[in-house]
Amino acid sequence: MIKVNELYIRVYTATDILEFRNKFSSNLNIITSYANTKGKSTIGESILFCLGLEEILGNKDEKSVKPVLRSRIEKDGVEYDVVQSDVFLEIENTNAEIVTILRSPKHNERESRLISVYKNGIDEVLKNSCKYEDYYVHDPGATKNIRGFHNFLEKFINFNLPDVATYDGKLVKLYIQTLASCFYIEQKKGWMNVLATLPTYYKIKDVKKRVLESIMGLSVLEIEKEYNMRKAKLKTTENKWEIVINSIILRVKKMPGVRIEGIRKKPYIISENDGITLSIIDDNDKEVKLSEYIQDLNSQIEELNNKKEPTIENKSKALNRELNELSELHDKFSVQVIDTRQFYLMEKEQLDSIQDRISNISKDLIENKDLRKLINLGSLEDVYMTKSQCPTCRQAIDDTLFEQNENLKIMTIEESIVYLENEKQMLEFSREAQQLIVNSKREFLNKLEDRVAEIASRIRVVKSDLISNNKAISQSHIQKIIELEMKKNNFSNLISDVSDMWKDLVEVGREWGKDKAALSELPSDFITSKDRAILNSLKFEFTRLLEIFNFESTGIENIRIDDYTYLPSVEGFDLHSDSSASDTIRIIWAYIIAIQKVARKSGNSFGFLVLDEPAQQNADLSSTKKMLRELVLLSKEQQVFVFYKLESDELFDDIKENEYYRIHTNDYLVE
Amino acid sequence: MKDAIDEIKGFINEINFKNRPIHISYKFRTVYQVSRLVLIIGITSTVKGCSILKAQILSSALDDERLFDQIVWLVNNNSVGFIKAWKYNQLVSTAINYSNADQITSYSNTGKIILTEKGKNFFSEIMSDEALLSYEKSQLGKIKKRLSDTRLLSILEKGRKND
Repeated sequence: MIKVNELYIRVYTATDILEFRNKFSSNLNIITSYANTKGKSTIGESILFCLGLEEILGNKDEKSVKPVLRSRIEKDGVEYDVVQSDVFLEIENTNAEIVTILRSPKHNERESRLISVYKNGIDEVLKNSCKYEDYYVHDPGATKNIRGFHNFLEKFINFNLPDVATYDGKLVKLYIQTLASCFYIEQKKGWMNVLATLPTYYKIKDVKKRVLESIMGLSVLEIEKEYNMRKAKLKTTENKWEIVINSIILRVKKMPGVRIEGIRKKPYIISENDGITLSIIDDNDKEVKLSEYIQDLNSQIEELNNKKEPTIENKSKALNRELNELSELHDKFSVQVIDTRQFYLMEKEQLDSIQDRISNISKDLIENKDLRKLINLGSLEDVYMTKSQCPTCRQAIDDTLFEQNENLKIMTIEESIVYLENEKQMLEFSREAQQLIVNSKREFLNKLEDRVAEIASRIRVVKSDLISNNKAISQSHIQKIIELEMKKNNFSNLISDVSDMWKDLVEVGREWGKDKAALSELPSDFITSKDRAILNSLKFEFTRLLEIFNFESTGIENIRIDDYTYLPSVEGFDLHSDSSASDTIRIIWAYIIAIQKVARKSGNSFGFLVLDEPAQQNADLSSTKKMLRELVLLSKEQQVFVFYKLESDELFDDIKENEYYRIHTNDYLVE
Repeated sequence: MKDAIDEIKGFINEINFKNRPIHISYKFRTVYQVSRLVLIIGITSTVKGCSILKAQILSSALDDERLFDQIVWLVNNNSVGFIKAWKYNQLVSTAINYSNADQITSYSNTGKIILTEKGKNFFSEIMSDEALLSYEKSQLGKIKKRLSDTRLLSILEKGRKND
């Protein structure tokens, strides 16, 4: 927070120096005149100009100040050219640090963007040559750069301004200029609506909302950022889950015949009882668990290893028996392969035919759209056939080259386009479903073909054994052991890999649970209980003041502070839009005073309030007096400036002389 | 079947049908055939116009890519040879009647179809939009004005002799 101690304006003409110098009260300052344009506004504008906040007046740099400071000045009825002008402003922050700011609206050697800051009061600055530092305003980076004046001002006031998003997708610091419209109500546009002078050209998204959040110290923006971060984290974990699941499925698919159960595509917290099952169809066409199958392979290997002298002679009977069994199996699977292939080809053909139909419909659709374009061409404007009329007899006809038949209705081109689009969409769904069927048939066929190839290879080995020397070691015996060993190893590796990945999945599930819980901890409307208390106090203060100011447009009990905009509303509508002109002024008085109180308590407050001509729209004297009384109360906690053009001093009847400091300008301000 | 109908007859008092409009292929739309005719005349014919025979054959070829390729080959190689059978299409003749009645085309003194002022405007409007009837334009662009009626007749004559 800051307060304005003193203002000194110095204007040089070719022959003279004209001045205005005034110290201000830390409480209520009332600047009055009995006639218009006696330079009251120059005080307010000069304060804004020195603080680099003049943009809320609608202009930048020297253009924002009155001509008296930049072009022509009048003295004793004679006009003089302004040669040079300087404005000195002494401000003080809550740590009792005093600085004087010098900015020159017109100066040969000083650009109007240049601001010099002295670490002394005005008295010392004018008497001695004090040290100063130069800063600049309205240049890119002025909010963050070390030489940016607003960067200095932000620290001096002890503001903590957030980074906010712009419509260009960038993050920028919330400009201090945007906050100024809550502390300086300009005499024309400022009384049209709440925060009417807030600059919107910085392209900041929801700028009014962000300004109010910052001023009241609401944590909505942080909560929103936190929410987005946590949501992104949850999304990342969900993606991780998907990756692990896909890796498991891919790994299992590499082993033909193995099926997996217990996999869920959506993340969840995996308990100890959850698990996945790997199974396989054994030689007896029975589905068994993979672990049991491996055990079975183990016992087969053991049995084969235990057999003595596995010569062909010893094994000939067994080999014959095996050959018969294998031949039977081969025949059985071969028949299955033929049947399955037939089904696969049928389904494939159906898929191709759907695809053909989609291609035809797409072509038809393009051509129909072309026809629609053709009909709308300028050269066909007076052509009868495009209006479905016979060019000879002008009777209504269908848009077709077939013989006209009144019993046969033909769709118009528009209807045909809609029809074709629907048809295409339906066929695309159907293609997706058919593709799944074809894929599953192909997969099954592959497995069967693999199995047949495996049996055929075994048959070859057994047959070769049977025609070999009787004393030779059975090749089939050895190969069978090798095959079984390989099978066992492959399946064991699969189980080991899958169980490793399952462990990863358990971890991801746990992480997902934490992320989900973290996300649900945040309030869905981003308003925490602390923020709710702030908004309630704003509402309380606002409605209390409205009642005091005799607000009449609607029942005060129906007024709410909108959770999104933080502006007053009635049944979802902006309160301002439903109110009379004088009540709009009351709304602005009440809202601005209420905001000052909330800002000082919990948020970012400039520490002073400027109201330029608040008795607008002939707000009645009684409520203006009540407003002044409220300003007296407010000024006990912060500095207030009010500018009035008066008819009489009746306005001050209800406040004591020691409750305010009055500056009355009878003639020109700078003289 | 008759028994089954007799059986349900007792339950049904009347059957109502609603005559809903049906979709037809774009090829049967007047605007499409007329636009195609305008393109054939505009792209492949000189100011003297296009014979009905040429309009029929090129229309047929736009529906049959192989026939079109054969014609393009003969034109490119300045050769006379056998072309695939083509079909007379009543729709093309009806489209010519419509476009004449709507004053998009008319017959010249020599009995050929020519574009009227309205037809010429229509042609240049179709040509100025690249995406409009792009297939037809690209196919006919392969022939341009190199297939005169005399040349077309000699190709057909050769085909007839081969028969």
